[in-house]
Amino acid sequence: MLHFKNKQLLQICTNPFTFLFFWILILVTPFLNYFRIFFIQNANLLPDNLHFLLKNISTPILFFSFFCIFIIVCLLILLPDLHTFSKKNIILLKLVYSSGFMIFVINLVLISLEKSNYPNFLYSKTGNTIDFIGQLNIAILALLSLISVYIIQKSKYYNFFLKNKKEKKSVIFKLKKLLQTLVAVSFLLLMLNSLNPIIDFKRSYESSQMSYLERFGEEYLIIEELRKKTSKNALIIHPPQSSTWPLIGNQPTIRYFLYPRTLVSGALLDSQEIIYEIKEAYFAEIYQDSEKHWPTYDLKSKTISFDAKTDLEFSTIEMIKEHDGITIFKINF
Amino acid sequence: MNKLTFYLATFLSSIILILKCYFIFSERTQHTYAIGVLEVVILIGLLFYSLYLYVTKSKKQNFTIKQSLITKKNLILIVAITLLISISFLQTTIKKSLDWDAVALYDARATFMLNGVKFSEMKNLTTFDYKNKYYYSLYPPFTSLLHFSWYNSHIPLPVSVIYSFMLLILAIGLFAVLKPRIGITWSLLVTITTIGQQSLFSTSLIAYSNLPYTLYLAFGILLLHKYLIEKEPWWLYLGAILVASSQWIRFLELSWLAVILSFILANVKIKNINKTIKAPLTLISTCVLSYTSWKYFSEVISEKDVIFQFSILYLLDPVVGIFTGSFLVIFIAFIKMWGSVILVYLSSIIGFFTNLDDENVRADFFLIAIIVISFVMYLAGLYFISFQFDWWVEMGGSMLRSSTFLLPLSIYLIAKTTKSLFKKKI
Repeated sequence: MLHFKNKQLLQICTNPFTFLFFWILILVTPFLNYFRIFFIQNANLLPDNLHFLLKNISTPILFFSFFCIFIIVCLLILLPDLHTFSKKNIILLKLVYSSGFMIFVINLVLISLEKSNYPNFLYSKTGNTIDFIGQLNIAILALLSLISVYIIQKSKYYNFFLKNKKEKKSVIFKLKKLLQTLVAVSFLLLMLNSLNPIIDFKRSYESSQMSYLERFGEEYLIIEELRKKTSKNALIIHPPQSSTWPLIGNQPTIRYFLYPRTLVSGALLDSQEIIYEIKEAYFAEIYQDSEKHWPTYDLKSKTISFDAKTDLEFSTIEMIKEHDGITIFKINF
Repeated sequence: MNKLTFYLATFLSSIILILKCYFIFSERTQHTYAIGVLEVVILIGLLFYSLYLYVTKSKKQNFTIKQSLITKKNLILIVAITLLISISFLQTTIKKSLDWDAVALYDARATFMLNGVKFSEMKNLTTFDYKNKYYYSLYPPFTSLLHFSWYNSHIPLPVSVIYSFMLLILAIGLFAVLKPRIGITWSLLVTITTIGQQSLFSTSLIAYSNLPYTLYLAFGILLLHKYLIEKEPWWLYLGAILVASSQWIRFLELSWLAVILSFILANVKIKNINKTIKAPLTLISTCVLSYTSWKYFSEVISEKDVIFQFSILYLLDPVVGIFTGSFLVIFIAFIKMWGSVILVYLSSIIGFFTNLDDENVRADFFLIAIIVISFVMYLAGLYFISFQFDWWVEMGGSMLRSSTFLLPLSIYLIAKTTKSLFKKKI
C-alpha cells in the first residue's frame, strides 16, 4: 500500500471544483483563438504585447489543462477512497459529459465546414485551425474515456473483475486494470473507426468514378491531344518536371498515356549538339499568356527554349493543331 | 481452421513463386541470374517440404463449420465484414481511372510488358528523363506482374478488383490464423476492426503495392507467431517464405529485418543455444537470399543506381544533429506524421505489458518487438533521409501506408488484452 503524507494536498487536487476549473479552461481555448483573430482584425483595440500573448496562449492552456485533468482522474482511479461518489460528483460528471459531447459535435461540424468550403475557411471565420480543432477533439475524447474508467470503477459492475478483496486493495492490480480498461476503450474506438468506409462511402464512391481528366486536371487534355495528333514512333518534348507542370512535366506518368512514343524532358535540351541528334520532334505549347507558358520561342530569329535557359536554333516549325488553347507543334532542327 | 490457414499460406506462396518463375524465364539475358534461380529453387523446395510435413505429420482435422460459428452475434459480425468487403468490390469494379502511382509505375510497367518490353529493358525508356532514371526498377515487379497476368486473362473487370480480392484473403487469413488464439467472436472482431481501418481499407481501392505487402508480411508474421506457440515446422517454413517474398513486393522498407531481429529475440533460450539459433536460421537464410537476389537484379542486371547514400560523410551530419537539436525536430515531425494512429500501437504495447502472465507471452513478445523495432527503423530512416532529401516532410502518407502490416498485429494484441479484462469468453 502507498502511504501519502500530504493527504490534504491530494484532497485539493482531486476536488471536483479543481477538475471543473481545468475542464472549463480546455473548453474556452477555441474562444481564445476567436478573440485573437478578432483583435488582429481590429488592431487598434489591443496593445502589441497582448497580441503576442493571445497568439501563444491557447495551445499551452489546452495541453496544461489536459495534463492536469489526466493526473486528477488517474489519482481518483488509483485512490478511490479519497472521494465518495456523491450526488455533487454525479452532477459534475453529467455536466462534463454533456459539455464535452456538445463541443465534440460542434468541432466535427466545423471540420466538415472547412472541407465543404475553401482551405483556411475555419481560420478566417473563427481563428481556429483545423489542426487545433482536431487536437481539441482528441483531448476531449481521451479525457471522457478516462473518466469512463473512473465511473466503471465506482460502479457495481467493476466488482465483476475482481477475484478477491486482497487483490482489490493492491495498487499494482488497480493500475493494471486501469491500463487494461484504457486498452479496451481504445479497442472500442478502433471498432467505431472501422465504420469509416461505410460512413465515407459516398465520397470514395465518387472518387472511384472519377475520369482521368477529373483526377489529373486540365493538363490531361494536352496529353490526349498529343496522343491523338502524333504517330506511335514520334518523339515528344515535354516541360521539365516541377510543381509548375505537375502532370505534363512528369515523364513516367505521361508515358502511361503516350507509350510507345519517345519522351524527352525539356530540362535536358541545353545545347545545340543534343538538338541536332533529335532532328524532328513534337511538343505542345501550353499555358499561353501566363507565367506557366512553355516553351518560349521567337519565330523571327528561329530560336526556342525548352529549359527556360538555353535558346536553341531550329530550321522549321509547323502548327499541327490548335484547339481550346492547346497548340501542337512539329519542329525540325 | 489450421487447415484453412495452411491452404491460404500455400496459395499465397504459390502465386508469388509462379510469378517469380515466369519473371526469371522472361528475363533471360546474356547476364546470368543464378542467384534468382537459386532463390526460387530453395523457396519451392521449402514449400514442398512443408507440404510433405503437413500431410504426413499433422493431426487430422475435419473441415466442418461448427455450430458455434453461427450464433447471432457472430452472424452480425460476418455480415459487417461481408459489407465492408462488398463496398471495396463495388468501388473497384466501377473504377474508371487508376491513381497516380499506379499510372506512373505499377500499371505502366504491366503495359510495357504487354508490349514485349522486359523488366531489365525498362531503364532504356528513361534515357531522356533527368529526374527518374531508375524509376521503373525502384520497386520490385510483383504488382506489375499481377496486372500483366490480369490483362492476359482477359477478365472483363478493372485491374483494381485484384486488390479487393486481396482484402478478402486478408480477412479470411486473419480470422483463420487468430481463431485458435482468441476464439471465433474475438477473431471476427479483430478482422472487422483491421480491414475497416481507413489506412488499410483505402489501400484496397488504389492499385498500389501496399495491400499485397501488408497481406504477405502480416500473414507471414502471424504464421511465425503460430509457430512460436504450436512449434509445428510448416508454419515456420511458410512464414519464412511469405516474409522473404514480401521483399519482392516492396523493397525500400527493411521490415523483414525487424521480423528477423524480433524472431531471434523471441527464440532466445539462454541454456540452449542450439534451439536459439535453429529456427531463426531458416528465416534469416530465406530473407537474406531474397534480399540479395532482388538487389543483384536491380543493381547489376537492371543497372539501378543506389538511391540512399550511406558513406561515412553522410553519417556525419546525422550524428552531429543529435547534439544540435535536429533529432528532436525530426522526432516531433515523426510523431505528427503518425497522428492518432500512434495511439493504436501504444495501446498494444501497454496491453502486452499488462498481460505478461499469459501462456503465449513469448509469441506475443515477438509481435511487440516487431512493432517497436519497426518504429525505431522508421524514425532512423526518416532522420537519415532528412539530411539527404528536402522532400522528407512529404513522407508521412507513404509511411502510414507502408506500415499497415503492423495494424493486424496491434489490433490482435489490443483485442487479447480487452478479452482478458472480461475473463470469461463471450
